[in-house]
Amino acid sequence: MSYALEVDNITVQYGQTAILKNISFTVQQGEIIGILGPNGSGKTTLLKAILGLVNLHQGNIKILGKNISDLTPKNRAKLAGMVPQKTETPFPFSVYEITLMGRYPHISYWEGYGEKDRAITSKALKDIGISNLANRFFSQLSGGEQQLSLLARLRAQDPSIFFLDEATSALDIKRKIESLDFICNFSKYKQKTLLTVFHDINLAALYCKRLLLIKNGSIKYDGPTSEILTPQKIMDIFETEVIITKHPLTGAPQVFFKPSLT
Amino acid sequence: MKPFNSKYKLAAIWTLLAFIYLCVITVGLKYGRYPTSWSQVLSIILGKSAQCDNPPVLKTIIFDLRMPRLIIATIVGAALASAGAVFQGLLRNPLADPFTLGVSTGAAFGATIALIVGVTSTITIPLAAMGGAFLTLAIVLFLAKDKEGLQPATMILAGIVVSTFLSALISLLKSLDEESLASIVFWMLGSFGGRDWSHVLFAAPYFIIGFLAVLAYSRDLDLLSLGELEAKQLGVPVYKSRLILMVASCLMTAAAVSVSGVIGFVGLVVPHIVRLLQGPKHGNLIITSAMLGAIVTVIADLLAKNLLSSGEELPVGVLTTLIGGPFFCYLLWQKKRISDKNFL
Repeated sequence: MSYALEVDNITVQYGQTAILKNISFTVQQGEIIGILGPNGSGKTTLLKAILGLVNLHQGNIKILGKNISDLTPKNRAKLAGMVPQKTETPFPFSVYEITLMGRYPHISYWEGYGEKDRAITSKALKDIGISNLANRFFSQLSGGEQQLSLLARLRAQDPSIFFLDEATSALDIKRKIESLDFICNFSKYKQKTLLTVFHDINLAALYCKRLLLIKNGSIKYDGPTSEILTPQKIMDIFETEVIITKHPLTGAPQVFFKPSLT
Repeated sequence: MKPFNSKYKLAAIWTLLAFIYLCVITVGLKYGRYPTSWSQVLSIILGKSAQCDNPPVLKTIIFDLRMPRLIIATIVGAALASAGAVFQGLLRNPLADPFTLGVSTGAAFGATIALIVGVTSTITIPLAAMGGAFLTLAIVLFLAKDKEGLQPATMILAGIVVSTFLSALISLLKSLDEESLASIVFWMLGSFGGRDWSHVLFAAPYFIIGFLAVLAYSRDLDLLSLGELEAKQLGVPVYKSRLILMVASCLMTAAAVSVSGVIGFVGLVVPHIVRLLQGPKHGNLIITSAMLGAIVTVIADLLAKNLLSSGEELPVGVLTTLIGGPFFCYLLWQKKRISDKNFL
């Protein structure tokens, strides 16, 4: 059986400090997976490592059966792409231009972006619901609008595996639910694999059937959402006491916090 | 969704600049130390000199003195401005240009060394300038590289330090060797005086190769200006693209400096103006910067040549810095006034 993603015993070090330690997991095509963990637990580094953006100290990563170290950057970008936490540019690029850059892995040096790429870019902006922002300067947008632009860019890039690094954290509730609905429906419909780093445990539980819980650079728990979200495991990972109930509509586990007000 | 008028706007800008350039060149053929009339210039350009009984020396003045000088100014302006646009995009810093990165001064240093050891050939001195430029770039790169890759801010600091150091060395060499004083001053201040077709033929190929290379990699440059990680994530072979862009811009700069000396501010200011005119996409930015850079440099040289009534020439580098410095301050002031961090 071939997997969308095989992570085999990877370790990532910055200097002497190990950020990720002996991480292994496999992902089937079309799976939607949430990654949770406290600040500094290595979630972002894990996504970067899978995309080949940081050097592996040891271990091996395969995307759709291909070893990432054997792939050219362009071919890797056709298979897997990411929405980063944020992007900064000192130059006044428009949202359209930023989104069009998602087509980079699909173009050749001399031909450049063609009509097809422009059509896909327009479609991506429409899908994410930000056609009206196309001519605005990216760097003048709010954090949420920037995240939507980067989502549109990933949609235009159109890889097989989508990585979202807290890509909806700055969105208002309406935009958050709309974007997650779109991405998850899109990934189901097109059999795209989706790995998303969440801060919001409840959103992760609503949209993901499988969760990875990371702490201190290791995967502590990996399994179906209903088995992973228990008060003991949340306590173990986040050192916070919670009560868990079922979502009244979907039945997904949802977390309530216990404030200690005096 | 892409504004339709942007394509027409670009076409309009290019047409306008091409027109201005032709005007400036025509004016440039007329004005110089030797008085010439419009009818003389026209008859010579159109090849009808014999019928109009012009002094024979006039043909030489126009074809072998004024024309190569105009073309040299064109190449140098285009090279510095497009190299500036590339360096700014690569380092994600609007203050980067061939001068702040030390590349220009490195080239001048190379030329100075050649002069000191007594080389006088028109081919060897430019080659020495190129060697100096590449060596400086290598040193700056080495200083700015750490475990996590190239640090753009460090690179500009390193560039300024190395550049200041080399300037001091040049001054030192200058005072030790009074004989070549005049020619060393030429490298420090920049001038197109006494340039001929051999200099055009020397600089043109390097400029053309460098220019085509940066154009081919202009889309990589767009992505690199979002930062190394973003570029890598979107599939840019970061090290290869950056190396090619850097070497190509260095080649253009060295070609320019080797025939004209250090000419400041063209590489810094021109890309700024162009970005305001038409946006930051580097492919078009490089092309328009080259055109505007050529126009600015040709005008600056015409002024340098004709401004003083005594017939003495000003060093063109002095003139570009005199105009460019205040203009850059004006841009900074505007930026502050609008308080829009993306103004530049």
